[in-house]
Amino acid sequence: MSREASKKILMLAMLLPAVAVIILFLAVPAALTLLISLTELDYRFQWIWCGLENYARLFSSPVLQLIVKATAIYVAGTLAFNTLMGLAIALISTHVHDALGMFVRAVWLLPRVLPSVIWALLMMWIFSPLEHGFLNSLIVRAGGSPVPWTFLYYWPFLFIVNGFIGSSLSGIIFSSAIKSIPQDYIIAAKLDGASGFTIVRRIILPMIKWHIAFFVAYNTLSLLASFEYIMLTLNGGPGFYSTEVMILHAYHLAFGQYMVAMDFGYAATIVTILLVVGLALSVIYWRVFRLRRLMIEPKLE
Amino acid sequence: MVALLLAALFIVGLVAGYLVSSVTAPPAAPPAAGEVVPKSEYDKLLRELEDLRRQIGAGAAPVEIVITAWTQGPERESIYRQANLEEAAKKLTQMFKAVGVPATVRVEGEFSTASWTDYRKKLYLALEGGTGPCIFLTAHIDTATLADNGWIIPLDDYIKKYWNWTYYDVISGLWNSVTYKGRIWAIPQDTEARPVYYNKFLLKKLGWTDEMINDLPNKVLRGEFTLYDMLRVAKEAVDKGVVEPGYGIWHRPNAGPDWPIVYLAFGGELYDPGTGKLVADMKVWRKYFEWFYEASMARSKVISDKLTALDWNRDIHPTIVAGKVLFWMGGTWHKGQWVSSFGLSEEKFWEMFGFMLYPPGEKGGRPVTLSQPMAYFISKTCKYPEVAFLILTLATDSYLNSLHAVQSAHLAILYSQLSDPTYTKDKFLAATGYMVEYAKYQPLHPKWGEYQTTIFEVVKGIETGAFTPDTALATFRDLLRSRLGDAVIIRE
Repeated sequence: MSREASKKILMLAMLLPAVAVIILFLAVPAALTLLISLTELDYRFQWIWCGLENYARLFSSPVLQLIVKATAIYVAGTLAFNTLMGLAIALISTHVHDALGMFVRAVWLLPRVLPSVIWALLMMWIFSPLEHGFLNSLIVRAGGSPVPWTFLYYWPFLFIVNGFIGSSLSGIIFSSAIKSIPQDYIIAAKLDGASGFTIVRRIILPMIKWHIAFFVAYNTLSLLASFEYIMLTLNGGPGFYSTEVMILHAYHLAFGQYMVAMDFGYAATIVTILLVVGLALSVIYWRVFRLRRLMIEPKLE
Repeated sequence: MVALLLAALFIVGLVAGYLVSSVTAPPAAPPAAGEVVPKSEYDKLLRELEDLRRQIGAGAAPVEIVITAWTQGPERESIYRQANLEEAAKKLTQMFKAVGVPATVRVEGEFSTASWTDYRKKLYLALEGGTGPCIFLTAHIDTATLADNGWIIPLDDYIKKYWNWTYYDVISGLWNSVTYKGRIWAIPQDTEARPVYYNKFLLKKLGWTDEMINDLPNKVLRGEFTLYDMLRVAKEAVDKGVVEPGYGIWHRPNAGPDWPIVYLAFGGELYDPGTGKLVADMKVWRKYFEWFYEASMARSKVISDKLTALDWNRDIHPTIVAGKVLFWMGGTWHKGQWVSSFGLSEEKFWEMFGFMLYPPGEKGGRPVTLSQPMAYFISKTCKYPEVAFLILTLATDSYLNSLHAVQSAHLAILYSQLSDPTYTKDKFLAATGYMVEYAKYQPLHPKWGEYQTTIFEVVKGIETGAFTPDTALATFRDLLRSRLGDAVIIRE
């Protein structure tokens, strides 16, 4: 056997575990979801093929427009909150004393380490629309009238509930990126009399743009599939499908209705569409952010 | 084996029946002194019993028959749903012991306090997988789904066989709630009524006299007080500041069986027995949505727009018990919950709350309520269906059911309960008993859950300002068509 061939076999053998994991845990579930969406699978768990019937049903559904709109608002809003808040945390915590910066980032991790149910309960209590909510009881004590927070401002509320968790991740990524910028650039800029704002705009942001691009791409995809905090707080409410995002709707159809519809086939249709949207977005991000350049080996090191 | 055990039990029944009848029957001839059963008969039975004992091999290792049973609250007060089955198994074991049958019966399983959604999910998947419990309790509306899937066995023959034991005593209307496609599929376990509670203190503040307040349920019965009168009173309370805006009429915050009641009060129909399909009468639904729109914050400010965002235990019950809501569209079992879990004393309840049927939609109409009986089913995979049925038979007992009824504030399922001292000493059950006569049931149809969820979603939309009656009706029609397809007949 030639040297080349044995090298190739070795490479394949080394790749095998990773490929197996990808197929078993990523490709198979995706394919299963696609297959389930072509069936009438329900509480009886019987595979009855029905072609594209579920898709026809979804595209004629009166609530389709609402859930798509909610998904767009939720993903865009939370993404913006996560990215901007993460940037703010990173910039502030890298511009103060190191120990203090570390402390700030550690505090921001608290919501992430709290069990999600407790976090959701806490946030519901803080922003409760009733008088006994935390914020409202403060307002009432100060002589004001209670504000129906979760009721009027449900989107900002959800951005906060999710964003306080998401921005701790972006904050850490961005601050480590900022820390890796060679100090020479910043010192040189300061010598030239650049203001703090100019340094951020002209040096820091361009230098960490890859990290931001990565975070935006990654976070978009995970937000498309995230519903647990909506479910634990507003659960699609407060009005008619006002915060029912697509993945939450899929969950409700499959698991969450009062008299269990357990409409797995139909629910899988929505998940399949999200899967396609996610794949399409990945390609778009890859192109638009030119993420390939992140991956190629540097021409000079 | 089981057949033999049952045969033994049958003999015991005969002996007991004979003893009872000879005690209660007027003496035909003067019996011999100190002898109730003729000696010859007694000896004959004894010989048969001995025979039986030999056949089943008395003295052999005792057999333990385990009957699995799942029951559901979710309220903790309903734990007798499980406990009564365990008690019945004890009774059966005692009978076996008395006749020397070397077998014990034990009920194994759990009483669940999970949500109905979770309970059903677990139950359905277990039944489909063939690992379900032998006996289980669920709402009567599940009968259609359970029977259509062949997960349960019809019980007509058993009921006929043991009719004289206890089933003659079941309040006859209840059999309708578990009859599907001409067969009886379950044994009713309890029932309830869903009254409208009214706060007497708040009505007094509105200037009502005690007489007027106490006569309100009767006015409803006479058809003189309609849903719109209720709305008017609630609006007056809001306008005069007796209750806060949005606290005039409250209803459940989520999907559930209560949603069709107002439709029924306007005279709507939900089921067409001829075709076996669900029915949506759009003329009546228009009245329904108009009523909710009129009550919403956009108009009379009687039903809070935040209501559907609230939580039962955190917000709803405490607010009602605190006396801040004028009308509460609740259930009889809420009284049980308030007293046992929400710090309302029995005396305070009677001082503060009155209760009435849902007023009719129009003057002179018939008031309504809705009952959702719970029922015990026997699964197809049950290895000892007749033993399971005997357990149900022994649990369907005036005393045991009354213990459950009183603790959980559910209504009687047996005629004899209505005179059972345990039951009748509960003033509330006695006072709400008449409601069962006005009770309607939800239709038995596999798609009913989706129909009912759709009603709730649209009401939620109206109350939060997303719909007017016109848009609500249009959305409702679209949703029904898309979700139920030809399972529903839409009457324009």
